[in-house]
Amino acid sequence: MMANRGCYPHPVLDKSDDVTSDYEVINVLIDPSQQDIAIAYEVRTDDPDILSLIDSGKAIHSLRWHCSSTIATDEMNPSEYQRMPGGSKLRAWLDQQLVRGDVVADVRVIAVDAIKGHRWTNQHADYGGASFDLQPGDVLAEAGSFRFNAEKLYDPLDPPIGSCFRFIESARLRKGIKLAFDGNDTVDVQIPTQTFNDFKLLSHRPDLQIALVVLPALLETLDFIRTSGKEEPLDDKAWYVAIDGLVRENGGWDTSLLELAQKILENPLDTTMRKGIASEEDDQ
Amino acid sequence: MNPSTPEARALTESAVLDLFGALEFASCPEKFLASADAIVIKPKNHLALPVSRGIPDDLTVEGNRGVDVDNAPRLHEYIGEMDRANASDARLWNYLSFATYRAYMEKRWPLTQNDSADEAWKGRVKDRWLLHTGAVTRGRLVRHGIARLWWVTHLTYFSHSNIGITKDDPYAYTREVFKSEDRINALFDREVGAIPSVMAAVLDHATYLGTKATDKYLQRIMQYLKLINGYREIGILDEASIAALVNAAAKRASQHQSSA
Repeated sequence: MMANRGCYPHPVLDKSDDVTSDYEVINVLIDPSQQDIAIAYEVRTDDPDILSLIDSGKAIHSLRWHCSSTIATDEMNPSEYQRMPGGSKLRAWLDQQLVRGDVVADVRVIAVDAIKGHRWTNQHADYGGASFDLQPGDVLAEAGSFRFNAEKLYDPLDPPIGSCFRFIESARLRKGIKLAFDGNDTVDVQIPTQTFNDFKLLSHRPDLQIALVVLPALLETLDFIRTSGKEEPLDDKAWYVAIDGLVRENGGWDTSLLELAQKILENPLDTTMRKGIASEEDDQ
Repeated sequence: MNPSTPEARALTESAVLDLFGALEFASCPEKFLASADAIVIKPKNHLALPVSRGIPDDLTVEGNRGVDVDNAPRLHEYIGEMDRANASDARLWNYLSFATYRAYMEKRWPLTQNDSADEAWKGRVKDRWLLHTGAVTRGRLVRHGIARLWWVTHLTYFSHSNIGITKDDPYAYTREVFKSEDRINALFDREVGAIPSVMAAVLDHATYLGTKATDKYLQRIMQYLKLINGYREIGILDEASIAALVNAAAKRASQHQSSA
């Protein structure tokens, strides 16, 4: 019996019997890192039409994700990194800044251009020889959905290093930053007013904030500890205790300060440059 | 600006759980708020924000309609833009509702009890004052008294834009949405409203129609767009195609209105 879902105005390759071929998603792998979440999966199909629609450029693989906790949804075009008989392996990366908690992703194929007179070889007999004029965005195939958790490896409200510094606007400073080590809880990083406002505007790019401000501040702090720590005990300062612990975890005080600072901050220069290039490519 | 207003911070996760515990055992709003104050005031329950925000301007509560038309941009300017993952952190919004913007919350979303058996006020606390760290959703973010001001603004804020009515005022869409509570629900209760190009096209249309764009009318437009999005990926369409879809939806909504 013909499916009567009543949603699609055209036959869709999915679990219904609109089209008798199979199209399914299997072997989903999720690998969250601090910056993004790598998503890899496999689609399997025995349909004679779908891959040629993709190869001709009329349709694309689509991964539509939804995250209720961040009121966010977007459509990704996963790249096909392996074609196999009867399917493809695909992967995509989702920015950690966009998601929190549960994320649901729909695996689909959608039309990118208008496709006139489309008909499936294996469409249900009840459709007869009917053909359909598809519009850009129309869903051609649905392999199903999967759910995953955007595990956060970093908490900016309780960061291992950020909690040691406090960023303060300074009306007296005109350029550059200056550090004050006399606080018990934090090292105060004084920033000139205009730069401080710009720094706040960069809150969507914590990688830049870390590379431009936290890295030099941490270097200066490490140098202060190494030179002044011998003369006066710093054990009563919370920021010293936290940084000392991080230094010991990352090679100890005999390591070069530049190497230590980069290790503690997880190589911010590399991350920032990679992100900068990626965002330039996105703009083009 | 009130110098005694506490600067924006966040609460620790355990403090948020303590607030839920205090709510469960409180017999009246006064006792709950006293317990909440005792939790929120403790420095050990605070987390500093990565960047100090200073003391904010007060939010005001006047009239019955469009109360938050100016409050939302004011809060957004104070907190600034941040990424969505961090902006869905319940620890931040709970500190702001119980401490920084406490005076606003008491006027805008007052907790009242008719008699000792009345527990409806607890529903309002969970709806407007308190977010659970493990249960943050679209619906809860657009209802929480403070989070909603930032989130709806974030979703409707266009800086340096050439888009529709935001050319001269990046908060133009924000003010348009906050004209009514039902409008917020109509737009953001459906996922299709989270697609920025769709939201902008609908609000451009609403601005063009002025008072003729009733909440019911916008609700019908969003229902139609949700239906289309069920079989068509609206997010990939260009501005002109989305405007055409909104016009088609508007035509249907008008027909429905005139036949009703």
